[in-house]
Parts: sequence; structure tokens; C-alpha cells
Amino acid sequence: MKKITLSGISKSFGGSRALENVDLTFESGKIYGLLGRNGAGKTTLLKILYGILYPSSGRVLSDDKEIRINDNFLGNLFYVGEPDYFPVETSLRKLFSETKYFRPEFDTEYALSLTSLFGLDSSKSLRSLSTGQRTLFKDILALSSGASFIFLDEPILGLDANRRDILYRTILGKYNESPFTIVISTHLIEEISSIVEHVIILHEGRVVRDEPLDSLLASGYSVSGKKDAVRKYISGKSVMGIDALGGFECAYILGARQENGHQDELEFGRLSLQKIFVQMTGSKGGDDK
Amino acid sequence: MELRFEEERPIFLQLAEQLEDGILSGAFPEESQIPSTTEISVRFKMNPATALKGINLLVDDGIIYKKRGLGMFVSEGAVEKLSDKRKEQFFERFVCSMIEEARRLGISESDMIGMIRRGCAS
Amino acid sequence: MKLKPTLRFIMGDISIKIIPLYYLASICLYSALYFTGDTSGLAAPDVFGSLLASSFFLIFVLTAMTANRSLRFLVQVGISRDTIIVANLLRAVILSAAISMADRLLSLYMTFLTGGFSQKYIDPVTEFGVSDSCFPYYLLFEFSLGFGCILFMILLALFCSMIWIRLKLLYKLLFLILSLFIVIIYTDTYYGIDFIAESVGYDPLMTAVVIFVFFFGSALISYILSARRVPVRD
Repeated sequence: MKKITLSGISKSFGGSRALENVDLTFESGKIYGLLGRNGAGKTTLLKILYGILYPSSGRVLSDDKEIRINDNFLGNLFYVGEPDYFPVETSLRKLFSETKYFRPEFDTEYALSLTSLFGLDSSKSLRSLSTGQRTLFKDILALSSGASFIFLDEPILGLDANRRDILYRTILGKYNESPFTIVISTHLIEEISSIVEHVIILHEGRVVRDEPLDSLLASGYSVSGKKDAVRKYISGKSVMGIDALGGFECAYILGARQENGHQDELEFGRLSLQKIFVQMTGSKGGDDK
Repeated sequence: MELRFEEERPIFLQLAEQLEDGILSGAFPEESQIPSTTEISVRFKMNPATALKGINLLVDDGIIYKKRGLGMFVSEGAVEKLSDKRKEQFFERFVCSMIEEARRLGISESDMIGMIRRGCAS
Repeated sequence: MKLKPTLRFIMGDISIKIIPLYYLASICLYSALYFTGDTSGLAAPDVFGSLLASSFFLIFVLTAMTANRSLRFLVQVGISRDTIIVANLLRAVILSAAISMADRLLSLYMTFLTGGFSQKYIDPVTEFGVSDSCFPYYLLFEFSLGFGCILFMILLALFCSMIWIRLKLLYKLLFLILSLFIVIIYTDTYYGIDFIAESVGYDPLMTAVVIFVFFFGSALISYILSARRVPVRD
């Protein structure tokens, strides 16, 4: 399987729309960042792909062919939803072997080595783990799954800086060994911005950005200075948003940088992923649950 | 080698510059091997495609070269090439902008030279 | 299809392990009653008598309780709904065969204890006594009826557990009452069928077949339809 495509996927729960006409493609061997605020529809999207939820409308395609989600397709994917989909009273070691039973390509040894790398006790039950440890358990399962498309939903939830660091290195080490597709879904952006190659931004159930990180970062720039000068400069340009601090303003602009004749009073800068994200998703108060 | 990335410039450019610094300072002598993209990717937590892009910048400039099956090595004469390049950059970045500013402030050429001498002496 | 591991997984469920215990306990209980000399509680049951009714409820409760739990795990390891449905149907067939067999054996054991082999076997439709030479066929007849009923119960329980996830409380209650009603009528088919046959004017055997196909088909279809796209509850 070389790519997975979502075509015109919509999903509503009761009356509320969780996803609206989502078109996306995940290609093999790339690291994707699936970004969105809480409630933007990231988890719904992943659950639809993994057959946990069903879309209200739209199609899932594998290598451009429409498919009904079956064992074969799911064998290429791995997604860990809520950890309590597992029998929580079972030990980690047992859960690894259960998983292996259903997924022959699961690497139990690697899973156990990661378990000790992260300082988890494999004889403990899932129930006894803290939030951060459960997150690690999900990550370990996914990285050991041997699947060619791995979906990590909030992979750093509850992890301290040290463990996040080990996790990023582990992901990259594994990825360098044999490139597979990793989709990292998160609302904590700054740390993953050097890891991802392609960025998808979801906002209120819609895809607002879907492009390589480089071109996304190059798609705009920031300009800051005294309010009057900034206002004068940005008139007629496509402005994503403005941060104000007293008489000082910083505007985020889409398009190629035009500095000519303004260097004295204005300062030009590059956009960061975080800034773009905030500008793209900050318009209306999202659901911050 | 310690990498600290800032937001303002693309990461692959910063990586290339940091590697150049390493070569200039002698951390990577000529004909020595530099870390592979995999090592760089894992060590500095960056996408391997980004690491490759940074390294390719140096390959294009002839600072480093690939030995098939062995890895990346610093070219002979890389230090000289780099210091020439940095001198050129020094001229563009500092000297040219200094002269521009001096003209704006009405500082004459001889005054400017005098100031430089004073700076060097202190 | 990863049917084999899926079937193995749901067959290994704790609920399955309770079933042999249930029969073991029954045998012990009846033997104890016999040896204490109290044979009045040992009247061997009819085809749809008290003995089968208790295994009905056992299997209903166990299936309904565990179906959702196994669904969540299977979905998590990447097993598709199609496979899960097929595996559940297969398991239902295997379990029904095993349980109806065990029920028959248990009932034979009780008949043996009370020494009432000969007078017990009366064909419920023709009400003729069953001679010794007919005995094996009669057992087969009883077995297939018991098998069908338990299969129906399991399907109903699976259906319950699936729509349980979707429905609001009021619907759940309504549904529960309705299924209990169906279960009661069905467990008591002997009288139920006679009653219905009289009121519609069909012959009892035909009525029994129609009712059986109707219930069975509706349970099967409802389970498949409900399980096909059921979301997994968090």
C-alpha cells in the first residue's frame, strides 16, 4: 500500500458536525503533523481511518481504489485510541503477546526493549499506569507494530521533557531504519516542528492547511514595528492576523516578502509553525475542553 | 557539537552553518568523516529530509563529499574555501552595512578608518 | 480475514469458562438431591422446561456482558467488523451446539436418577408416547430445538449489546422489556405456539416453523445490521 486517501469525509454526531468534507492523502514514508486545537476533529479523523467510527459520508481509498475497511487494510495501519480499549487488568507483557497474536509483524522484543528504555515495568497492569505511562504504552505499541502507516494521537500527553526527548529520538531512529508513514496528531506544536515533513491543520472540522512544512513556512512572513507604520505597510496585503502590544504591532502576512524601503521602521521575520497555527485556528474561540 | 536552532531561519540552513563552524574550528578536520544524516536526524531531533537538505548545501559548495558506502567526508581545502566564503560574508554583512550607516551619519572615510583602528587597539 | 485468531480470542473469553462450571454445579446439585432422597425436585424438564430456561438466561447475560469488551479489543488490534461478525456467528453456533448437547445430557441424567425413562418421552406435537426404537430420533429432535433456541438467544444478546451502545436510556428500557417478552414467549413455546396456532388457525407445526424462522431471521439480521457500523464507545 503506497497511499491512503480520504475523499469528501464528513462526520456528524447527533446535530453537530465533527468533520466537514475532508480530503486528505497520506503517502508512504513521510512524517505528517496533524495539527488542530482540542475538538478540531483530529481524533475523529483517525478513528474513521481505523474503522472505529464510520463517516456520515465520504470514501476511504487505498492506492486510489475505494475500499471497504477490512483486515487487510487495517493490517497496514496502526492506531491506538483510548488505552482502555485494552483489558486494563492485563499486564503489558501479556498485551504485547495478545497484539502479536493478531498482528504477526508485531515486534515483541523491540516493544519490551522500549518498555525498559522508558522505565516501565512490563509485569504491571495497564490499570496501574499513570497518564504519562499510558501514553508511552500507546507509543510503544505503535512503534513496534511493524505497520507501514502509524497514527500517534497525542503521543506526548503527560510526558516530561526528558521522556519526550527520548521519544522523539526513538521515533526518528526507527524511521531512519525503515521509513514508514507516521502521522503525529497533537496540539503541542513547537516541539514537533523540526520532525514533521508535511503539515495538516484542522480547524473546526475542516482542513485549513495541507502542505509541506517548508512551503507552509515560506508562504508568509511577519512584520513588526510601530502601529502606524505596520498599518500603512499591510494595507492591501493579505493579513492572517495581528498581535498588538501597546503601540507596537506584529502582523502576519501571506505572500512573498517585500522589504523595499521599509527596513528602517519595520522589522521582518519568518513565520514559525506555532505562529501560523495560532493565526489559522485562533479566529473563533474553539472548543477548549 | 551543540546545535541550537532559532525560529527565524530555516533549520537546514542553520544546520549547514553549524557544520561549517565545526569544520572551521577543527572539530571536523579535512578528510575526516562527518555524522550521517541518520545520526544528525536522531541526535538533533530533525526530519532526515531536513538533515539531508542541509548536508546537500555543503556538498553543492564542495565543502564535503560522499564516499560511496562509507559516508560523508570533509573535502581537502574545505577550510580555506570556507574562510574565503566567510570573509566575503563578513564584507557583505558587516563592512557594507557599516559604510551605509556611516554615510547616513556623515562620517568620512578617514574618520571611519580611525574608528576601526581605535576598535582594534582596545 | 484474520478469522482464526479472532475466533480463538472470543472463545477464550472468561464467560465461556463459566459454562462448564455451571453444568458441573448442576450435576452436583441434582446428585446431592438424589442422594439425600429428595426426588420431588428432580422432575425431568420438558423440551422448553426449567432446565433449558436457566441456561438461556446464563448464555444471554454472559454474551451481552462480554460482547462489547471483546469488540473494543479486537477493533484496537485492527480486526474489521466483518471478521468480528463472522467470528461471533461461528462462536454462537459452536456454543449453541455445546450447550444444547449438555442440556440434553443433563436432562438424561436427571431422568436416569428418577428412573423415568419410559413414561417421559411423549411427542409434544402428536402426544403419542415415544417407543424405545424412536428414542434416538426423539433425542435428535429435542437437541435441534434446543440448539435453535440457544442460537436465537445468543444472537439476541449480541444484538442487545450492540445497540446498547447506541440507544438512549428510554429506548434501552423499552427494548429490554420487549426482548424479555419475546424470551418468555419463546421459552414457553409449547403453550405459546398452541395459543397462537389456535388464534390464527394454522396447524401447530407450521406455526412453530414460521415463528422460529421469523424470530431467528430477525435476530440474525438485527445483529448483523447493528454490528456492521457500530461505533466503539470510549
